[in-house]
Amino acid sequence: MVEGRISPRLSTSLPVLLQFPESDVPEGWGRILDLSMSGVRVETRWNLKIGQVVYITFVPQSEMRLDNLRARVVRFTWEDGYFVGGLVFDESVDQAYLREVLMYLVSR
Amino acid sequence: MRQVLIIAPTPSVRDYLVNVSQQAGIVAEGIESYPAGIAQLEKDPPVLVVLENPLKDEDISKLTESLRLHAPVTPFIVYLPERNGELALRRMAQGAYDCLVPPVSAGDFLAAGKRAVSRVGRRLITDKTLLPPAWWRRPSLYVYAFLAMMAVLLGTGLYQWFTSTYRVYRLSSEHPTAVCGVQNEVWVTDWFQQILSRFRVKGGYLALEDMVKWGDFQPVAVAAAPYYVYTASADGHIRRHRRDENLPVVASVSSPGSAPSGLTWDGKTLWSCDSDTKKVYEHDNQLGVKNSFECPAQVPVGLAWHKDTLWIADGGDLPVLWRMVYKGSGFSSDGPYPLTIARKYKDLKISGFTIWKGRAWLVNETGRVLIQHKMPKGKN
Repeated sequence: MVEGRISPRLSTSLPVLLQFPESDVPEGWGRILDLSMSGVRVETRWNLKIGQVVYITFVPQSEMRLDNLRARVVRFTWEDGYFVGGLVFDESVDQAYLREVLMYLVSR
Repeated sequence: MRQVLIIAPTPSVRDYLVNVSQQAGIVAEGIESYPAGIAQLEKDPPVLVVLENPLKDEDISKLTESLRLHAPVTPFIVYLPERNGELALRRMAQGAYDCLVPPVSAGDFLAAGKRAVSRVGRRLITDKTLLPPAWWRRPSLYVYAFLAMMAVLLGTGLYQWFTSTYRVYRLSSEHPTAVCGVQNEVWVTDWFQQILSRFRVKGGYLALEDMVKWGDFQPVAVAAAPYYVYTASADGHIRRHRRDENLPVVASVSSPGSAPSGLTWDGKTLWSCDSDTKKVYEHDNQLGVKNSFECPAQVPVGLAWHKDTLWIADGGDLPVLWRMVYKGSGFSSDGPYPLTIARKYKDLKISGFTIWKGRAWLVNETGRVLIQHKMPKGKN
C-alpha cells in the first residue's frame, strides 16, 4: 500500500539533480515542487516509474548541499510533457540534516 | 510576431533550435550573440528565451540582470551540448527554468517552453499538442486498459446474453402443459392446478401478471386469437373462451383425437395436434375439423406457425422440433431439429411449445422451467 507523506510540506521550486541507478538513462534533472521530512514532489521531463530508486541532489543555498538522498518513486502523473512524481525518502537519509534544511527554507 | 528568442552563437545550434521551434508551432527568432540577444530582448521582450549554453558564467549573469530589468516575466531555458547533470543543476540554480539536451524533439521544446512560461502566468501560443515521450508509461493508460477490458467483458456478456442458444426461466408450476405468447406476455397452463398464468418476461426472470383458475377441466394446450382464447383439455375437448378477466367458456367441442396436445392460431384459423393420432388438424370457425395431416413427430406435444412454416415439438424419446411446409396439395415435412438444451437437460421432455418473438418457448413435463430457445435454421 502506498502511503502518502504524513509530515508537513514546504512549497518550493528548487532545481534538483536526479540519478537513476537502475535505468538506461543514468541522470536527469527537474525541480522540487515541495519538500518534507518524508519525501519530495518533483517535476521532470525524465521518465519516472513506480518503485524506481532515485538519488536526488539539491542545493538549498550555496553552503548547503544535500547529495544523493536515496528515495523511491511512489506515484506520478504526466502533465503536458512533464512527469510530476512523489518520492519517499529512504531510512538512510539523514533526518537531522534534512530538518535543518527545511528550517532554513522556512525561514527564508 | 515571434514569441521565442533563441540566442545561440553557434550557427548550427541556432538553426537547429529555430527549426525545432517551428516544428513545435512556435514563431522564434535566432540571434547570433549574447549582447545582440540581450539588446533585442530589451527592445522587444519575448515570451521565452532559449539560450545556447554560454561558455562564461558572466553571460548568464548579464542575461538574468537584463531580464530582471526589462522582461521580469520572461523565463529562459538553456540548451546544453550534452547531458550533464551538474551543469544543468548549476544553470538552473542561476535562473534557467530547465535545460534541453540533444536530440531536442518538438515535444521536448514545447513542453519545457510551456511549463516555463506557465509558471509566470503566461502561455505560448501554438496549435501543436504534446504527446508523452514514453506513451506506455502514462498512468491513465492503465485506467483506459482496465476500462477497455471491462468493456470487452461487458460486451461479451451482452453478446452471449442476446445470442445465447437458450435461456431458462424458473417456474413455480410443477406440471406445465402448454405455453403461448400473447403480445408482451407469455402464458403457461398447468394441468394439475388447472390454471393459466400470465407472465411478463423481465430480463432473466418472469413477473407474474395474472392467473386464471378453471375448476372443471385440465388444460393441456392453449392458443390466443384477437377476441378468444382456445384451450384443449385432458378430457378430450377444445374450448373457446372469451378474452375477459376470467376467460369464460363460450363454446366447447370434442377434440378430433382422444389426446389433444397442442393448439396454435395462424391469424385466421385454429390448428391442433394430437399425441394419440399423431396428426395435425386444421379447424373451421365452429371448431370442427376442416383438414388433417400426418405429423412426423413421435409424440406431438405442441405446434406453432412461424413464417409460413408449421413447427411441431416432439415430446418423445428425443426433444426435437419438426418442420412442416405447406406446398399446395399438402405438407412436406423435414427434421428432426435437435435442441441444444437437451445436452444439458438430459431428461428434458417437452410438454408445451410455441414460437414467440422469433424464439421457441418450451415447457418441461417434469416442471419448474420455461425455456426460451433459439429457432433452428430450417433447410430449404
